[in-house]
Amino acid sequence: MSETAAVDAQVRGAAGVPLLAVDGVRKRFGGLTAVKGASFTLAAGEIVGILGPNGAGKTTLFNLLTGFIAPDAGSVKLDGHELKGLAPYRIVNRGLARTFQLTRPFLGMSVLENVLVACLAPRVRHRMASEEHARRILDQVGLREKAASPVEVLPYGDLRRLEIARALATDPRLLLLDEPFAGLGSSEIEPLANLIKRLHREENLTILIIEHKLREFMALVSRVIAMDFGEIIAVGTPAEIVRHPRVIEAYIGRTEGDGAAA
Amino acid sequence: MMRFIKPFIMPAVALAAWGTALPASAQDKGPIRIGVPTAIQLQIGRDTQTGVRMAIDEINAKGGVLGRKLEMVVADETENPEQGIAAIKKLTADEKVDVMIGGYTSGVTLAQLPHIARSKTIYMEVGAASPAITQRVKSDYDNYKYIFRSFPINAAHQARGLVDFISGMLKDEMKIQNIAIVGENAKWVQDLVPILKKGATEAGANVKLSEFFDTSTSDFSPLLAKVKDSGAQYLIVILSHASSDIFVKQWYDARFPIPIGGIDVKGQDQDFFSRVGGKAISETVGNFAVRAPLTAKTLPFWDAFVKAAGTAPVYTGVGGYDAVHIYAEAVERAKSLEPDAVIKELEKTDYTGVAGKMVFDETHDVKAGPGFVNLLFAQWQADGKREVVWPKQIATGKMIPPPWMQVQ
Amino acid sequence: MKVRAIDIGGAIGAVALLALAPVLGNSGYLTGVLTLCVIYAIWAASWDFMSGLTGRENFGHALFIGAGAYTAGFLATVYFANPWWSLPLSVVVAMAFAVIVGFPTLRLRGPYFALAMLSAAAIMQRLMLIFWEQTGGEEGLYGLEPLINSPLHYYWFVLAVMVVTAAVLMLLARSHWGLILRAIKGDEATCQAAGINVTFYKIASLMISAAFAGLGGALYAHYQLQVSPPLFSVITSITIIIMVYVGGMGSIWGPVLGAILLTLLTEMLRGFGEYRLWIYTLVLMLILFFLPGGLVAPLWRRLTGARS
Repeated sequence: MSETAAVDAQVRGAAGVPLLAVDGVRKRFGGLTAVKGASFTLAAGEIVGILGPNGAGKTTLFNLLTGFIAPDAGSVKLDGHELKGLAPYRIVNRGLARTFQLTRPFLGMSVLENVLVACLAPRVRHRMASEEHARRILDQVGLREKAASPVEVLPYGDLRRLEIARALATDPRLLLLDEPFAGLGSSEIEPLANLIKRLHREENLTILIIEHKLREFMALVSRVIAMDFGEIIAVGTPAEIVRHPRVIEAYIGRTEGDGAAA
Repeated sequence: MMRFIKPFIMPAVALAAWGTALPASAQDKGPIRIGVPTAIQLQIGRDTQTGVRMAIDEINAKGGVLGRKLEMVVADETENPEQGIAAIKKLTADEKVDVMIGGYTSGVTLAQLPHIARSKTIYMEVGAASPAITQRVKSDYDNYKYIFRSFPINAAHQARGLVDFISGMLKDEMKIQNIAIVGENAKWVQDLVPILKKGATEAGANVKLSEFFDTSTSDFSPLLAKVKDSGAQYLIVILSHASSDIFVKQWYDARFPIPIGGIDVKGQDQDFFSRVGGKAISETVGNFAVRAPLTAKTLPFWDAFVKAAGTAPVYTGVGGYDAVHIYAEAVERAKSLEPDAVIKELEKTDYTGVAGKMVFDETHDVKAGPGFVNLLFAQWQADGKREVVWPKQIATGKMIPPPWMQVQ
Repeated sequence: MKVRAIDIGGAIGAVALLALAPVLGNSGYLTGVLTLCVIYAIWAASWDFMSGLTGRENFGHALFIGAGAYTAGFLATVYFANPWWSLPLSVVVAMAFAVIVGFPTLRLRGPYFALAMLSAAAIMQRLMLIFWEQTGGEEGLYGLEPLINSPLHYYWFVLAVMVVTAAVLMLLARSHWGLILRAIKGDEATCQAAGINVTFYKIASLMISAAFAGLGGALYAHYQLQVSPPLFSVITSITIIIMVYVGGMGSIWGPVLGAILLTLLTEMLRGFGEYRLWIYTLVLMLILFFLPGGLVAPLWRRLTGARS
């Protein structure tokens, strides 16, 4: 906990009010506490990763931040404004967008139409002609030629780009990406990572990425929040996290007393 | 261009073919067409058609009416008002019949009335009992003069007939004073029960309980329990659409210590007794007509009907038969088919039918009472025999108690 | 799907055919049958707009129909108001029912909405019977007057209302509103993540659906000149769903034609006497079995060579 506070103090000192301030967010499902009092902050412009084994509570945390699940306790503030208790669509219209780990595009509609729906969100609806907006977004993620294709024929990699396009269309200040590299072949990972990097730069986005594979993170994020069993166990740079004893424990198993360590 | 036209060819041809297939309006010297709106899926509907057809055959054999033969046109009105209205429109606007004879469910007839009025076609009711059907004849004669009810006697008359039974048979003969009344929640029952209660009370009976139940009820035990607790000695039932079969079976199986009787339309069916495995024994059912010499025509009609249909008529068969004759005679007297002329003659009707003397009152409703048409009480007895137990003048047997109450 | 010149030509042709048929056939009977056809078309189109587009099936559409019809009935028999008031009032009453049932149930996932609509309609039917002293019970309310005395002119009026209904609903369906409804059908969570107020759109489209259904109910009441509890029945609701299905769900105009065809079929089968219901059911089963995408809309697309 004190590590987090130290790093956060640095970050806050540099940029004023943090873009995202998560404080003591907790969620229980019956007997299982999925997230135990998570606290961290994000400064505007960062790319931060959330790391942890399966079942660590990462996606639950995302759902808590984006309003798909209501926290039992704690607060989530975007730019100082409380998000807890708001419906997901309202959080999106405040500037916090997310992608899903399992993409569920709108079937029976084209790629363009899928993005067009997000262009109709109140936050962005009146800024420009929606169809033009949608085409621009498709341009940015590299799906321009496939605008008229039905989503059912899209390969998996393009579906992931579409996910990001949909989130991007709502003009977010903070973008939450849930395992964007899951299921991608090695040749698809790098282009997607480059896309994320480019968006971070060009759109001045703050990005929070969930991944459970270390490698994808390394080049992408500047800071990592590690989770296990619903708790934040470490915060630091990628290099620091990799060497952190509790992180190693979470991933590899106990180093003492069980003798079965690899 | 053809691309535009092609999709329309089929539907246009179909619609045009159907439109022109509709029969042309009745020619001057063709047959006189009698429209029969009835529920053709039910026994009621089948018997209406049989009764009408029998009368038509008799009249045609004697040369028809005004030299023209009679012809029947049936339309299915079901028990649903929407279909009922469609049936009337089919008969009047499409088939262009000269008169309509039929009906069964009061709700359907009531829905049909404004459409019948607009079509300016004479309509003779032979199945529905609600007094509301003929109410407008008096209050709005110009529009509703076309409506007549020749059968059955309306619910108010039926109520008085029941009061007569309660007072004469139950109170005077059997010394029973406490009664319970249960009826299905239908319009004609809602019309009937208040009159029944008032009349029974005035005649000195105690109405211990009076309940309506949902027409679709299938478990009568809570209702029967209530009746038992009320201290009633006789249970008057008012049923038409509800399942009499189930009711009577549950009454019998429970060895219910109270005899039942009343108006039970399904209980009038010839095969009711065998249908319920004999469990209707001792139920006294109000009938609109029975096989007894009510008039000179009763027995010949009854036997001829059984010969034609293989089964004894339900009341609409009687109603349909008499209505055709009444109409035919009115047309003969008027020497015209023109509705206004025929209506004038119909109002003067004094006709001996199968069930009694038939005369219309000022609302075109068949009169009831001594000398006219009456509610007859016939009881199901051993081996499915029906004995008329009331009115005394035409009784054919004595009333029996339920088999488990013999000691009484 | 783009609207092509032939689609517009087809629409105009169909409306012209419907308008002229009674005149050409010179039959008051046909006028009556077609009036009923067109009213069912309004109901089918209104169901398709909400349920066909969002995929949230409404099994109690009869609730709105009955609400509109009984509003007209009460106005005529209890309040003796000018019958034309029943048109706007039936819309308001039906929309109120939409909010009452939709507001608590549309925000939930799962079958709650479908079950709530089914139950609400059934409850209203029972209530009409229970309070028979006020509602006329089984026999309902009668004494309604026609809005327009000439049956032919009334038919043209109802036809015009139907055309406006279909046009409005199709325009909405093709607009951004329709896009959002179809997205809701696709995936509600994704819609939320796209910043769309899903609950608002569901309730609003239910209200629009209810408005037209209630209006149809009032038009029906002034045609039948009576209203009775079977209007609220599940049979009414299912009949309309079948009409939508036969017409082609989601197209709005498909259900319009589906409704007209099936209502015509019911009347045309009168010649078969007691077998009428059997044959009708058989025809329906054949269509539902062999043509899962419906009959009318796919058939039109095939005949006019549209890309699917």
